[in-house]
Amino acid sequence: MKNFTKFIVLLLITFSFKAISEEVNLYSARKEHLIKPLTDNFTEKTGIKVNIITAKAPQLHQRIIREGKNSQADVLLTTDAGNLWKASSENLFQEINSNFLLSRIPKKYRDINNEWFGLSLRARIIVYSLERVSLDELKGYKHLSDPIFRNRILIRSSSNIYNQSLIAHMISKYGVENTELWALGLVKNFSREPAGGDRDQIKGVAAGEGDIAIVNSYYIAKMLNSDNKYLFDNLGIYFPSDETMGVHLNISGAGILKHSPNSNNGIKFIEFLASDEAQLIYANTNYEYPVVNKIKIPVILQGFGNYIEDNILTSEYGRLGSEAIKLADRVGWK
Amino acid sequence: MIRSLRDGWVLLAIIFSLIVIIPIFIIISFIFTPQNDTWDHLTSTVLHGYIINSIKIAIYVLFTTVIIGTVTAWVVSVYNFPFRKYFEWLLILPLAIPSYALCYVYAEILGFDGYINTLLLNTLGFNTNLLNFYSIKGAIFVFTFSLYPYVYILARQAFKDQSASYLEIAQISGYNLFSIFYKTSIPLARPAIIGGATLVIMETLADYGVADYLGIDTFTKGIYRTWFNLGDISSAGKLSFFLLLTVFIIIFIEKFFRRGAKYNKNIRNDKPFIRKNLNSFYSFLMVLICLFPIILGFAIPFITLISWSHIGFNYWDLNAFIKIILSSFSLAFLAAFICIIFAIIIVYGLRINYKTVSPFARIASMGYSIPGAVAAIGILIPVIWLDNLIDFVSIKFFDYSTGLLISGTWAALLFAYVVRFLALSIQSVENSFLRISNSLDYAAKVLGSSGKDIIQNIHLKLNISGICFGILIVFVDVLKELPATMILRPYDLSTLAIRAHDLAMDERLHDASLPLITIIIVCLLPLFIVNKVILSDKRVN
Repeated sequence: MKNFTKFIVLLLITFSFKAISEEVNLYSARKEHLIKPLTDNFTEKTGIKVNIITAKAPQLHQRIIREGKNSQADVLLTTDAGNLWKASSENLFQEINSNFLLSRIPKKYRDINNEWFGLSLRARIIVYSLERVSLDELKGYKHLSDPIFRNRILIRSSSNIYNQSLIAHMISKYGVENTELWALGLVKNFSREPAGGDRDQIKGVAAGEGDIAIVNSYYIAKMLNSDNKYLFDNLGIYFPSDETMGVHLNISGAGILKHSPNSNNGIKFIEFLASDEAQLIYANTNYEYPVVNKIKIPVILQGFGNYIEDNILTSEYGRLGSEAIKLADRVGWK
Repeated sequence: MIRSLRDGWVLLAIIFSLIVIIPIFIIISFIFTPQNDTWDHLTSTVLHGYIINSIKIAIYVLFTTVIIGTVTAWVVSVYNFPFRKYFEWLLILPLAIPSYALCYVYAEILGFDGYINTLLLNTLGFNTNLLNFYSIKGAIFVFTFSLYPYVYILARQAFKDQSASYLEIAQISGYNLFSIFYKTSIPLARPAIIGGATLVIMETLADYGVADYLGIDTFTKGIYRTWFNLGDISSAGKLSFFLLLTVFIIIFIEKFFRRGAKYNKNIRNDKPFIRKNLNSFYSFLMVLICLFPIILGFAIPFITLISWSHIGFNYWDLNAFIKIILSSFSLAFLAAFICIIFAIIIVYGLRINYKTVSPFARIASMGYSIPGAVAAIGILIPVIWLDNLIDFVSIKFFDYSTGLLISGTWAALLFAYVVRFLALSIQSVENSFLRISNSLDYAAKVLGSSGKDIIQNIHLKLNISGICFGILIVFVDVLKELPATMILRPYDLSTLAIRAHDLAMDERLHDASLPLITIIIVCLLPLFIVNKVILSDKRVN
């Protein structure tokens, strides 16, 4: 019984700390140390306290579904358009009325029904060995299955959402059958079984384990700006595109949850994330491309040059996400 | 006999077991949902890969941990050699290091820009990735050195308990110590060794972090993928069911081997075994045998983390850090305390009426093999259902919405920890209970003690070491726990493990080193205390 009393007391204590000050509850798939500069800044400016729960995107997704109408979550901040699409297709979001957001964020990076807004961009690019790869070997993503790349490609596991979105993009562009053939060829070109994250693929190229790595742009940017940058001197960067498909871009973004108790504060928070100040933080701390035009990007990203992005709607990544995972399983992309 | 009181205890034990069993049943119930496309897809593509990988790892790890754990336990119990006293507790230390931390450290050391490679670069002039840690071998290595202490502790306890008489008789009969080890001590210690090995297998099967980091497709990884990425809860539930089935079979086999034999030690004639002295060669050998797991399982990771920590200091704010330590600490202690209460009641119920209580206790123990995130979802469902029910009632009668009361508070999280870690408490309390002769119980009853008295005055006192071990082991595991905590935690509750994991995944291992070191140090303190208690646990007549 002592146990039970403790339980009740705990309940009462936790429950009794009801919000007295203004606050907003944030469910974030982005890690705490990445968003802390943003939330701290926001609280300083507006006085609104930000309560954060971080977890992997799919786990947050499940939690929100289970919590249902009593959920206390206001804002869902997540990486990958696929995750945003999933949330909106399951009616977790509410429509956001904000002229500020509509004016700042280009149409292709936000939901048609204004249920979510993209806040930063990243490209899935090729990092290659300058010694072992010549630039004219590199074309679009679909050429990565060519036999000339046999045993030369490094990429992370298909269980990672970034790859799933890439596959989904390919499916949307070329159809399931062609993409499956492509993936089969790609898997044959792996120089080793997928292991580690994007950074490990880059290190693999530098170490000679492979010639080409397929990674997100901010990883290589960070590494080239780190203390160890001399290790990556011999690497080149290429934004894959060809006549049929441009560069695969993905977004991180946010939306307001349907049963949000503090939706006004939530909207204020998302608007803050689209402000110049926040966009600069995204760019300079995490080396992502800002979603708002005219924001100055850091030197290292300028060095990457311009690229041609594909014209796909990022919501496609979500729609074809499951299909992509199953395809990866079928072709043996671990 | 006092029938009603006995029955009362049994009922209590069953109720407590049921509380823990509910989420397990929810997960199992998914097996009855109809098969769908995803399930067909799974069975035709990845399922056999998951099974093979998981079994491979589990078997190898079982083999290595039993060897390392049993041999070191024996060596330390029976021989005299320099530093033996220190090795006795040093061998436990790897328990304080989470397996994912071991993973990060070795992947980093052996990786591209790690110490080994840089050394090679400087001396031999070229760079290479010779040792591929990102493989099944890497996983086996990590689990071996982070889990062998489970076997070590239980085996050491068993060897200590073995009456010196057995050993001396065997010696007089002419057997040398090695064959005594083989023919007498191991069989006598079998329940303890099997108990430790079972914990090791369950922990290996339930792991996600290591398999994820090293890129290995294990069964648990498959469950996560199906549940969270494919969004198919029912197929993930089916996979979980098979995982539980495997564990159930393992537990059943374990109990089968223990059945009938009452290993109650005869308390009366214990005298301490006089350790055998060794010549310098063998002494040196013993020292090496002990050093090997300590260095690989503790020294190298700990020292590496310390060497990284000076960079981490810039990142951490003192107030925030203290806050995290306090929350991690209190969460872990509360969970451990609740678990041990449950365990004592259940084990006592087992003692009174093994046949009735046993199935409940066994099922309740299966929680240990459920991957953390799966357990979390399994709990979320009934807890939110309960919350919504309370809310519904409250709206109906009082026109007031209570919102989410339990989920999203410490209560849900603690519930998850109990489901996950009850097996540990039960295992350790049960083990030390085996050492108490039943005749003591009967004698006490005849003299008029009630069941409650027996627990309080006799069992608790005699079982202090088992109870302490049970509290310690749950405390340590909760402190290190990751996936369930991430899913169920309330706002603004962050734990050391979560912060360390996030930073490490972002390759900010230097920043992650501080919370990791804190986890390790915080885990070390209780380890020392309990070790002293176990060592000084004298048999009482």
